[in-house]
Amino acid sequence: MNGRERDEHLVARFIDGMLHSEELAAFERRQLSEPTLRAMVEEQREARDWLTRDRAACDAAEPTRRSIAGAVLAEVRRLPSRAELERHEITEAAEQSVLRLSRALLVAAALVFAVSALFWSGLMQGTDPRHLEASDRQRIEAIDHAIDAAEAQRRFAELPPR
Amino acid sequence: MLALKHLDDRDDGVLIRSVLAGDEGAFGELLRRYEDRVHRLLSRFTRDRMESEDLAQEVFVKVFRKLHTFQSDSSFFTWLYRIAINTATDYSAHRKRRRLHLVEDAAALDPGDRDEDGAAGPLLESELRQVTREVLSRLPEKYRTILILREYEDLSYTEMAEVLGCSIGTVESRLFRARRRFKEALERSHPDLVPQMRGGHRA
Repeated sequence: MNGRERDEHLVARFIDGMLHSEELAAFERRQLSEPTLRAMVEEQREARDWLTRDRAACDAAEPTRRSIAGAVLAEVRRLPSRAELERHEITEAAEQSVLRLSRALLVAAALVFAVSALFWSGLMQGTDPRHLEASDRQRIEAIDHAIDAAEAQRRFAELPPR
Repeated sequence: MLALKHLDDRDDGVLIRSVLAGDEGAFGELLRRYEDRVHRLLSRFTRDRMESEDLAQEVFVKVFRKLHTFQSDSSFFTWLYRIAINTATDYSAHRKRRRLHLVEDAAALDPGDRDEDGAAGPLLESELRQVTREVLSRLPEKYRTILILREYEDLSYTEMAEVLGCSIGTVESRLFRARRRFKEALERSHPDLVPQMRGGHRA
């Protein structure tokens, strides 16, 4: 965790009154000398205060509601027995894992296909040592040519003037 | 009366075992015990009484169906909250897909609350609720959820970590970022309301 993240944690806990006395004293001392930290606290406090006001407004406006107990119990009575629910749960879990496995296999197959396509289209160099040798040979030949050319140029320069 | 009192006093674990053994009355007791809290939590997400009732019903039916999967080493309340949050977020995603929220957001602000120059008097409570709803609905789900759990439901960091299945450190940083994103979103969409955030009046 870096310093900024540590400060984020501290500010959150400060705003929610979760710092214990020693932490609190140290944090308040830091606030006096660190304007950035003060700004972080202010920003968090403003957001928190706004939401607190909204909560009070929502609670005051909350209409009376009807109990749902009767409706839930009626629906529960229509459900299959507990044993059947458990069986259903097990089947559902098995189906889910088969689905997850199929998905993983599909993704793996797609990746293999994509890599093969890249390889065969020549966009991806293989690691065959023969390819490396061939490229090394070409490089050495190019260096040889360069040396020959430089040598020829030097000899030409050393020729006595006519 | 004595029997009812005894039933009320039974702890969640006992009630759950009774439900799993086929005691419907025990489920009724669990339902009555948590109905209000679940409904209130869901109404924070939907901000609509009818929708919250429908979702609360859905949550409790899910709870009944999956009760045998509940691990008794964790608290029933956090397990229940997790199911409620998943149901609410599924509902939000579904609603977003249907673009219903766009229609609601367009109608959310009552132009009558503003003066002709865009400035108005102190923020009305109904306007405050509408603006907050609009801004919250624009936040990524994880930020909206943590703000609801902390600012509206008063859950402790430990409870939030249990409900969200993450560490307390994650709760702290997510809460910090959620508040920051909320403030930025509010400033961007309603710059005239920023002075009110600082306890003053609208510019």
